[in-house]
Amino acid sequence: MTNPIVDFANSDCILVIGSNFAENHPIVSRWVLDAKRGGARIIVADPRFTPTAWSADIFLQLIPGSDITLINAMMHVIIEEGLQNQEFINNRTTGFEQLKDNVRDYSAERAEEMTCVPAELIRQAARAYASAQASTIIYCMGVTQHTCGTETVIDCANLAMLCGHLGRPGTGVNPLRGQDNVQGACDMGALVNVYPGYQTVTDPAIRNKFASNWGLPAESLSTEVGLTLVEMAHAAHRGELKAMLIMGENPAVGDPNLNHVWESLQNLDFMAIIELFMSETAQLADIVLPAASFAEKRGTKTTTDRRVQWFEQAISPIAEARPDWQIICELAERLGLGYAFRYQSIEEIMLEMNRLTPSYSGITPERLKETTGGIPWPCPSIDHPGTPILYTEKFSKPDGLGVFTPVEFKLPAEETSPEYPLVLTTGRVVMHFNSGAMTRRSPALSSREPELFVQIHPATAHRYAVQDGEKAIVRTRRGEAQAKVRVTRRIGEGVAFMPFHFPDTNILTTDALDPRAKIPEYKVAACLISPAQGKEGEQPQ
Amino acid sequence: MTRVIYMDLNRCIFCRACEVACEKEHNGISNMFVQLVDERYAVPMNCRHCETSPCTLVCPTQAVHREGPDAVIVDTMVCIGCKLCNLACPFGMIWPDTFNKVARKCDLCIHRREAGLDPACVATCSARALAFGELDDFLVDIRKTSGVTIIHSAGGDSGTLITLPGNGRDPKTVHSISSD
Repeated sequence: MTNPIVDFANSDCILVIGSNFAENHPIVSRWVLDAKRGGARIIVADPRFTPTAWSADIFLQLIPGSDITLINAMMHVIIEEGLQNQEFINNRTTGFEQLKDNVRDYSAERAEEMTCVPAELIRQAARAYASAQASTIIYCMGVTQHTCGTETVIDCANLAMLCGHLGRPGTGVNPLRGQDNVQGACDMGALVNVYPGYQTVTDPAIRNKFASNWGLPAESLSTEVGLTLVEMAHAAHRGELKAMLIMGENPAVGDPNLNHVWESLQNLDFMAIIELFMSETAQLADIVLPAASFAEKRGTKTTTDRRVQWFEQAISPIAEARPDWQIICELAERLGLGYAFRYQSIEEIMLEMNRLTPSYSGITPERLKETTGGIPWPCPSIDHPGTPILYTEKFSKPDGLGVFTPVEFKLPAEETSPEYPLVLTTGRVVMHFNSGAMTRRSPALSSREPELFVQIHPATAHRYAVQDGEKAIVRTRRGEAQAKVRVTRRIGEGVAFMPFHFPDTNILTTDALDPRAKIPEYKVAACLISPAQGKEGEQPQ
Repeated sequence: MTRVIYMDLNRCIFCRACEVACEKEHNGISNMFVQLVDERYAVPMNCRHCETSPCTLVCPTQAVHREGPDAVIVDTMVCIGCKLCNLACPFGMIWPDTFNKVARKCDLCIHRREAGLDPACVATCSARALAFGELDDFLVDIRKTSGVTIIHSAGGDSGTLITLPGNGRDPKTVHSISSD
């Protein structure tokens, strides 16, 4: 996020695209509703009328996968009506003419055909976003989990730069991260192409820096980019990947195209997992190493708005559970690499981060323990207060200028056909977290959302002869899943929504990837829905 | 003065964290019920702790009684499970616990209030739809906010006369009285 969560309260207009924060980041609602109370206009673009959309002044019910067309059309309207921030464009950006050429073809009328959002609403949204004093964009997985995810994120940035809504309170481009400390994990290089602090693995100079700090010969660290999650499943399926160590992940439920994933995991020679619970993936593992939960360990977490916060242990680890860092050090010891993993404490690891991660340089354990609410990176030195708002004066490019990058609409990897006529989109519900490995174990939560459901429009239910409250079979090119039907006018005709917290949803989803970010297209698949044969509990005929 | 749980109906997002928090405080039993209306409004419902409470009037054993100025509570050791209070409550906020055969309702987290804490539902509300305090203080806040809304929606600025709705003129009309 370019701006802190609390800063949403300072916005005059909030554009929410591909985020259902009322269910998935409920705390964000506090600040968005404060903004609304102060007179801010709320625009929500979503295929479903979610609780997030309840507070919307303008609701844009687009069809899944048409986000780029919507954003390009908003920019078309803004330029057509001269609402862009020319001063910001002149002083802080390059490439405006290319953007202008690119969006010329995206009239509101053309976008109406492609997105199903009325042209007049697109115009209203564009005017509201462009003309407010301080507008902010909130986006989430609805934007990213597409084969055009990277382009859509770029387009959000284009829109913000076009109107100069960056670098000030109440503005910004704000992706909401999906998990506690996922920001921190990325910052620490839990990605295939970077060391901590987004320092690229392909640069030998950076490799040498890390190797010498860790006391390793430089050539022992690879300069090649590794495999991402879905690519690993594919490599295991081909027999090229032999063993996996999995931590904090439940691919046997969470990954797309699950039938394929199950074959891949079973094709491994060896799998070890570091887990809290006997998850679906842990059941396939050769060895399960019990991990300590958040309450049983101490350290830092980095929130979605880049704030690094210290947390202390509440209880001692139960039974054999251990904090992840200790498990990793012990594994290294057994592998004969113990000399490179001689950490005695969390503080010692944090001090290494301060040395090797420029954006974390000034975020020392001593400072963090004294700073309630944490310190937002970049924080380059011990006396630096941290950076709550990014890009106040320049962007992180050599010349400091933001680059408009025109993007074109792209069709999803899988289109509907006579055989699979509905668009299946997946997402989350408020009661569950990700693969449900934790929340399906909580009676308080699972009693309120006990089973897999599929949400469809009354007309869709009528056409495919399925009834509200009864079981239906949802089928895609990859497999089928049984789900309880929920008929609602909250969703558009021709679209079906399923939450992915239950083991069967991802049997249906596609493992087509965004070519750059390698994120799978969880948000669009072609499906068919039909009544389940026989009553509940009976065998299908 | 009476302290109440105030519900801001514009803010409830149907996350139902209040229900789960209530359950955690009351041995797995929730006395908070968030009602979804027309699939676009959510109303967090709990006992209103009525001044003249029908439940206390009909209770034959005084198990349902007012305790202190704020709360109506059930003494489950005295409750005979006759269910008259369930029938009397106009809001459906007392319900029969058929396992223990007693009436259940919100106790306004008496144990938390004694420790100086807000009721669990209020403390957990992410969207700040729930608040706990003196009713008069909430009303003062509402008056302030609606005053601001009236002025702003009429386009009020210094040197302008605001025309309010209801006198036959366009409510948005603003007449300048600045002298130039």
